[in-house]
Amino acid sequence: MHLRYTPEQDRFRQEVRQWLAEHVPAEPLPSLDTPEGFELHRNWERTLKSGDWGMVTWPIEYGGRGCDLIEWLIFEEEYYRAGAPLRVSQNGIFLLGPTLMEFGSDEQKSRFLPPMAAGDEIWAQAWSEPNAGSDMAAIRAKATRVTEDAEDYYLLEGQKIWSSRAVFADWGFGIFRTDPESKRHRGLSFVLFPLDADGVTIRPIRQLDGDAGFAEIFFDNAKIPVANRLGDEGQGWHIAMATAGFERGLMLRSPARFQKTAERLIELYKQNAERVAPSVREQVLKAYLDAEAYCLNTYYTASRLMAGGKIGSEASCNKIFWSELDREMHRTAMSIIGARAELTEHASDAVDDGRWLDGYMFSLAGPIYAGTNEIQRNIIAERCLGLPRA
Amino acid sequence: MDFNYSQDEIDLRDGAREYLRGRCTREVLRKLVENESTDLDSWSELVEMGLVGFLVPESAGGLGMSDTGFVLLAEEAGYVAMPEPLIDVAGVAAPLLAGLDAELAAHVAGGEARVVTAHPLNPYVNQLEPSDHILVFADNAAGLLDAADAGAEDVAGIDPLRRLSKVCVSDATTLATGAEIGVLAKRAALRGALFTAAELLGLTAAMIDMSKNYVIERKQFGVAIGTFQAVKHHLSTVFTKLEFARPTVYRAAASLSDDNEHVALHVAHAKIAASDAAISAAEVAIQVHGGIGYTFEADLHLFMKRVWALTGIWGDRNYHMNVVDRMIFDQQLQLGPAATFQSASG
Repeated sequence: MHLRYTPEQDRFRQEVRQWLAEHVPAEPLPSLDTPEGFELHRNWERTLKSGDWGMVTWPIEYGGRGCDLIEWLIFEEEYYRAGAPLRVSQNGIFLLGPTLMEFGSDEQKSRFLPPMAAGDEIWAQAWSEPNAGSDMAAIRAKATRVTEDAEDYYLLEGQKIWSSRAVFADWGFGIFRTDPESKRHRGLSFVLFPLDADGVTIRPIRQLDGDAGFAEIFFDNAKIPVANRLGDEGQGWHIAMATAGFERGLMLRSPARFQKTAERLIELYKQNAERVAPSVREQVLKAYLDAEAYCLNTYYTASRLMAGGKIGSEASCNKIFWSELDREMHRTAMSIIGARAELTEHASDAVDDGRWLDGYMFSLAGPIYAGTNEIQRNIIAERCLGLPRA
Repeated sequence: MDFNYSQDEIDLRDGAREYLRGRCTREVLRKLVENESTDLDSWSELVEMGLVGFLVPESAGGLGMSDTGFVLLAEEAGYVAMPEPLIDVAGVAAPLLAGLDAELAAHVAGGEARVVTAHPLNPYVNQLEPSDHILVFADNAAGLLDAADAGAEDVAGIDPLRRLSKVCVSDATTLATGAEIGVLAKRAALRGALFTAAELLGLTAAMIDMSKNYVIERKQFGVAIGTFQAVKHHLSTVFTKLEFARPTVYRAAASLSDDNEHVALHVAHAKIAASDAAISAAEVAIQVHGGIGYTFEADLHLFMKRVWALTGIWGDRNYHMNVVDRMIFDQQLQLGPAATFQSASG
């Protein structure tokens, strides 16, 4: 065990730090869930790509830098330290990307990964359906195989919901029932589809903050080449679970994000220390410690994976930990801000341009998306502790 | 940057695990309690395995291992609620003695002598009998006290497998003077807190396992109560706390081993995280055990009572929270992303 950065890692950090200092926009970009904000965030992805920072862990041939997980964590630390924009491409680079790397054909990897890393194609996820939320195996959207002019296609039919980024994104990925006779998690396939295909209709859903951050997707016999299927027919559930594993595990929320929030919270507390109750002080200290613990756990897991270990069901612990920490930190901040907590960025009196309010609203989604924390707790109980299913 | 343990450390951990789980079983512990004894009578075996001399240099007859490895031993000792004072003797006293009185350290490693530790943060010495000496830290002194001269007074504690004594420190032989006292006392406190935190991790894991086994066995409404989500979620929450406490303890050990300037902060974090996990685990364990958990007959109480004892010694939550508080609000600790670890170059 040696918990210090090597000179190479120091040099890598310096390189990232310098590049970001020269390129990160001086002013925060508008919300990526607005038409203008989305395009500005896409441009930022292209800027990242110009420095080959699109997705550092990928192989060079797919637009990456071939970095290891520790370097990825260093990159993320510098990214949040620099206050760089949110990643509009996150569904692609953090979820679909690793899945493609594991299950995609060489052709699919060459076709989809480089534009994903470059921000030229932004991806939306399409998992949930109106009647398949926590119970994802209840999926009903169908993909019916047809042959036309000697080409094989799937006709997609049905409805998906809570698709993040779908309003402005270019492509979607999800699982569909390819075997109409199948039940539950059998007979599903993982399909990639253009969001502007004929027969695909997007209906924006306004989120808590008023922006159209997610959408419903309706499929009315949308014709998608069979070549857009990832893995084998019927393997969809298995692949989706792997994607969910990446999501809950290491990639979706790097510790730097929460350490940045904890740092801001300590600063906010210091500015208000005279007037807030003593009980708040412990909440602030606890936020610092928990954000550190999340960081330590991530480096611990990364070291384990680099030594050949695998990430298992304990990934569900991560998702519970960061989502509940994030809510805790923002709730504490809201309590410190007091009467100004309700003010939005447009109010002149708003603290930190209303970012704590925005963050608090978004933190409430954390324990719901990527599998609710109730589902995660079931997974931990059944797979890590071996408790019987009901 | 590497968070993995060496193969040596893992092998020693596995050996200790196998031995402890076979030697210090719940049946054995119950028998001790029944006989109102706290003596597992395994000290010579621990010496034999090299565990008592784990932190003593090879030149003084020890294994010359580091604090990171000892943390794994302490976890295993916690998992079986071991009554022997391994932390106080092998974790705290032995490595300090190695720098003060190498001959005595060699005797400790070899089992010819046993030295426990009295410290303002560990005021009640556990298992004074059959120790020969007490390494004593008081306000302005660090010394060695003959156990027979300690004027020890028995102190009743709730854990039936801890035998506590309050010692009178006035007749100690001076081992250190001046500034060195502070350095030694601090070192003792850091090791005591760190290894106690590791012991708490083991106790937490044991209580989760006991609870898991119980809720799989116990049936109500015609089914195992472990099928109920309310029960599952209690245990998953505690399991998550344990998963996130563990790396804080391992990091603190690494910081102690390589003289990290923030070692006190890291040890404080470890003790707080491990204590919080252990207290939650004890409360959840008794809850899912129901009435049987509230009895003297079930094994759970031995683990819970150990947790109550260990969370308070070597710095309680207040002590360690104050360490964190001072670092953040008085010492202007660097915060935010990129501040968790340092470079090899300093």
